[in-house]
Amino acid sequence: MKRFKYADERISERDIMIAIPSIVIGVGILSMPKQLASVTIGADGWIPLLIVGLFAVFMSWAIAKFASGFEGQTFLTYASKIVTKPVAIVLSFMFAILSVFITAYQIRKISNISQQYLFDRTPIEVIALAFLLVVVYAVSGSRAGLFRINMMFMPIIILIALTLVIFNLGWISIGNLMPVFQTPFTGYVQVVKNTGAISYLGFGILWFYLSLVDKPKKAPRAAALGMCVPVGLYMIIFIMSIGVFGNAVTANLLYPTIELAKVVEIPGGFFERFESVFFVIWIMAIFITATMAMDIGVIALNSIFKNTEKLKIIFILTPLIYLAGMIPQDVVEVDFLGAVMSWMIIILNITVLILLTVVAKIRGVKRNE
Amino acid sequence: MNKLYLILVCCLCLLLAGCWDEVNIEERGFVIGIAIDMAEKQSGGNPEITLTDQFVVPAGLGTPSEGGGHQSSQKPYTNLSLSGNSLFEISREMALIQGNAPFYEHLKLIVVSEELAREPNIFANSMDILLRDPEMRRETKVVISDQKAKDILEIKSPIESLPAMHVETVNENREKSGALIQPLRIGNLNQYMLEKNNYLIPRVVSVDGKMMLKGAGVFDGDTNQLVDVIGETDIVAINLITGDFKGGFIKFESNDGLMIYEIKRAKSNIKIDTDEKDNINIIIEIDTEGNIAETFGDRSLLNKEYLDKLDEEISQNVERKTVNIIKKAQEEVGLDFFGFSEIMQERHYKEWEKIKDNWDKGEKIFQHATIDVKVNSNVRTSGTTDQTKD
Amino acid sequence: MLGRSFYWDKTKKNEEENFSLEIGTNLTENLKNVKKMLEDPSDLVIREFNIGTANHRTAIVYIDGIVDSVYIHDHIMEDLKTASKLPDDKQKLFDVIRKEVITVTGIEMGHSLDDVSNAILSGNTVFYLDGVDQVLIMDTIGGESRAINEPQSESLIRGSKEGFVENIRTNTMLIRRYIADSNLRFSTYKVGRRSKKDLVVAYVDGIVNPDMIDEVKRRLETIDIDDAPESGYIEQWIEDSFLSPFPQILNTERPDKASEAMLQGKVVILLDRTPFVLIAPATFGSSLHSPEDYYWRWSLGTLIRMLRYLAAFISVFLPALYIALVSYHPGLIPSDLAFSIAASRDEVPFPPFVEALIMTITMELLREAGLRLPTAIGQTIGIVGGLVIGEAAVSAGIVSPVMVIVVALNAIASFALPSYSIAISFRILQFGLMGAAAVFGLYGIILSYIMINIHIVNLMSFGVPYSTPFAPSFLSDWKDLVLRAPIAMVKKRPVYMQPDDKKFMDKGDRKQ
Repeated sequence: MKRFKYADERISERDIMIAIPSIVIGVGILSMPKQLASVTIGADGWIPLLIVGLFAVFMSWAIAKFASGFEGQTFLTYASKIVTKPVAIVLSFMFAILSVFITAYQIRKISNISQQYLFDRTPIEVIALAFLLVVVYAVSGSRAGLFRINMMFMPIIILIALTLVIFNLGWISIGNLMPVFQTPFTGYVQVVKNTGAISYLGFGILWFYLSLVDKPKKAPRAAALGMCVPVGLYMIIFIMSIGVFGNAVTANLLYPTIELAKVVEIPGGFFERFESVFFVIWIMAIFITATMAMDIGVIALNSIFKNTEKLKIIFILTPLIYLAGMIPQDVVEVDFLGAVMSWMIIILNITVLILLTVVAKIRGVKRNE
Repeated sequence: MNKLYLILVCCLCLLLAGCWDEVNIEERGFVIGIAIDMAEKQSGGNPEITLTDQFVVPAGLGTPSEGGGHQSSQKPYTNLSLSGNSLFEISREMALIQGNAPFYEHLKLIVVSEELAREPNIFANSMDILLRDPEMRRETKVVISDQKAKDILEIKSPIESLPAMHVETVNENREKSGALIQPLRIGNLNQYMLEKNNYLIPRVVSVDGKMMLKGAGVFDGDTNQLVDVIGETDIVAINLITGDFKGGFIKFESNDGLMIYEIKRAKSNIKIDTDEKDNINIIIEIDTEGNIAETFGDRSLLNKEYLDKLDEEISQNVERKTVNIIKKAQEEVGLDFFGFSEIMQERHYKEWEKIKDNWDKGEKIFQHATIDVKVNSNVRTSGTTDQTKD
Repeated sequence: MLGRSFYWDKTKKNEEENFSLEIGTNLTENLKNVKKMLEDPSDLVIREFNIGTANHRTAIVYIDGIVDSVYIHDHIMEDLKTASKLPDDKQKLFDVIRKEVITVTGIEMGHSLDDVSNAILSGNTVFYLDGVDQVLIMDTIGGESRAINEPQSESLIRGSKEGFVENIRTNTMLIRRYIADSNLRFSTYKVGRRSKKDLVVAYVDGIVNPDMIDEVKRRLETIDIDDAPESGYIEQWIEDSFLSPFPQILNTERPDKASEAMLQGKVVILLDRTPFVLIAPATFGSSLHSPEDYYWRWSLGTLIRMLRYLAAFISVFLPALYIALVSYHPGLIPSDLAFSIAASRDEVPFPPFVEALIMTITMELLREAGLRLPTAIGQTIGIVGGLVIGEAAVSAGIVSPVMVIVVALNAIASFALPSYSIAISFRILQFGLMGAAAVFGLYGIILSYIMINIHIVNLMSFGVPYSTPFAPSFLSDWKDLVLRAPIAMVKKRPVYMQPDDKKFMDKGDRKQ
């Protein structure tokens, strides 16, 4: 069937700009203020948040810059050229495995939180299954469709986050934000070790999606700009929750961002409990994160097993994701999984970036200009 | 196509198995207020607590279709009291008695008896489930009562059909009275308990069978124990000191008889000088603005000199009141419930770290601190008329 | 040129019946053949008469009822009778008659029996002259047809009161009157193996994207069906996904809506014998637009549009939200309302899902019943259903009063949508959402919402993504989406249609 040019499977740099915050903003933000507040004093947590954020912006730019040099080539293709095919396959495979774990982690996390805030007795397995099926439905559609979904959901997500911020402004007490700059240096190290990574993982998608971009030259800037959105949002949410709850309470609440929503009183009393509404809409954010992560896994595997149908890969991945998500027994184990996974992702991305750049230089692999 | 069928089949399976959490609205036991008392009978070991849930009986509220003025003969609420060690346990037991399991998402009020609040730890322990349970909201108000808390929930309100809602309604009058402290939300209580700051909890008393908010209880942030109770006149002073003043009035005796000064706006500025560790200097500047609301005298108020004189008298009056309560805090109660500690923590963090263990504990630096109050009151207008009699 | 020939096996029939498919020179034989082919139906009129000084035998053949008999009398019979100086040579006579005598405007030559039968069956009149193996086919299409009325399904307060009618000629005429552009194109097709209806694809050349036209034509050419009684058949044949609940082609009775769409670069498909014309492609945004949005000033237009999006939301989500809130999340309802809902549901024996199902199905029944009955009674049914059943159901304790409000609001919202086909889609979705809400509460609703969105972004209508211009987003198209910017500010035709001519106007400035 004939399509209009814009409706084909290619994406624009604007799609990349939206895809970055779409994958970054997920479950991390719900518990992020707690993890930061527990090791910093006052509202000092914004400093590591900003520093790590800037690093993430740089990483997104660097990856996009590197990948944009190989226009229209998939990760496997250009990685094979640089570091030989077997290594490239191993790298793709690692991306695929990690993507599966991100999806599994997001799904497990959403089920845990849903059970806490929306359900009581409904088993986590069922909540997770329902979510996973919707994710599978999305991934089995067209890839351009995923970017369109991002485009449709992102404004809603930003809007609900802003609503949360605006309705909480009245509850902020400036005193809670003080004192400033009192955190010892070790505290910041602690932050980076515990949390900095989880919140910003997601720039790895650039390795894979850039091959779909029409004008990859513009992509690095778009990717960096896109990464600024979560950095800004995280800082606002963090300062809000410290301002409203104070450091001590934030450090003790499991999901301070949702509790922020609990504080909101919509004028006119339309909704009694804003947190359910907030969380329900936030499911959309988590959904696009999970979907894109799974799609990366599918792309990576599809590039390795070229002759296998996409749907077949999805059907093999789905039970794996489900099982991976159901392995952790309790909240602590889920968080441990998250921490380990995010560190591995950061390390993998940095390694791949350095490895490919350096080897490409040494071996003089030409980029297609 | 195949994937579509797969999804359909899965959805059908879910439909067959689903509905774990479905509880129809009429089968929920809406709890609107709870009261926590010490149990009558104590059996050693862990202290026994009596929990009273006020369940809403929706039918008693009368549905709109039955006509506006129709008052149902049924009482719109039932109170159920049970005793036990754990609030959770009691709450689950209630499900067996009440039929509809208690549902706390509409909880508006928690009443704690002073008797319980004076016991060590029990108060903080009983707040745990109220903060931990996801059904609970952080907006629920906490008050203490001088008598049995469960009796407070029995007092009929003249305007509200549910006694627990009464406190909410009264709190809306803060702008008029000034003798009400900011209602304590359980979320804030959580903050105080975690930050170990002393705090005030509004107090409910029953006067002639009517519920009334009067005064506040002072809680020690360390032990979460009720230490003292302060009256409503002191509340005005505390509100003025903390700057959390929504409106109220000062009654004072001028040369020409009784006068009421209605405060429309008040601002406070607290400066703490922490240079000397042993002699901390706190300066409180209070600015008020308002008008003469009522006077028993017959002098013209539209006289610059006279107004200045009134300003002066009012300032002195306010100053006296605030100094009184500060003295009471330093000498009688021995606790800083004005939030000076928070200000120091926020603005003088390094110094605060050094003295925080000895502020109102240990060396009791607070008790020896020099606290000065400067009040600057202004009368802006005299109402709609100058003199009403000559 | 008159399309496909008869479908059935003519040679076989020919052998049995023994008649020739050629037009011979013998008039009697020819007329006999026509009769045989059509089995001499009662409405077949064969009028034989002689003309000229040489008394040449002639005949005209037509089918009564579908021709304009006055026209035949005035422009064929009269002319033939009163003609003088006719040549004697038969072939010459035939040419003179064709060129000089007959004053009918549409006139063609026919050479076979197929031509003859196709012509008379579609309302033409055929002229035979004895001794000539050719016939004249004259356009005398007429007969009874409905006058132009106000469109029943899409009436507006402000705007033209003309609606399309069953007659395709009238319809093309209406469009011509709206767009007097030399680039307006009508490509004609014949649809139906047996019915042979006229189908016209209308578009403005130079605006429409050529790819779009090619695609529409390609799909139309695949149609192979006995009969297409209504444009719904065409719609269902050429739409992209038959599984989708959403209409991928819009229909309208309003010529102003159709011509407006053509000026946006869309394609309009008209079918004979139905007042409903198709507009392709459709997008989600455009299915919530009504021509009246543009007729009122922009502020009102914008507010109406927003109201309509709200109506769309209500018509899909309201009963589901009711179920979710009442049976899963009563904490979300303001306390006082929660208590009064609890009180009103005290005597209702069913769970909210069943309650909602009963009421929505009742509503659908009322809607359907109201449609079947004459207008006057239809209104009565609405009142009886709405008031009496609602009231009685509440007092009998079958449903709660809040449920009645919910269902009524839901029905009103769905009637407020400008297009009946999108309203139907929402009604279908609403049931799915109710199910999801009954199983998972709000979680189910949001998952369903996400699924609907996935479906929409993957759906295409003639190569145009259904979700455009939301995503893929074209910011300049947002001026005329949820908002309706002042006319002078919308300078561009919709970018998502990729039109050849990009702009509606060169300057946005109004003439002072």
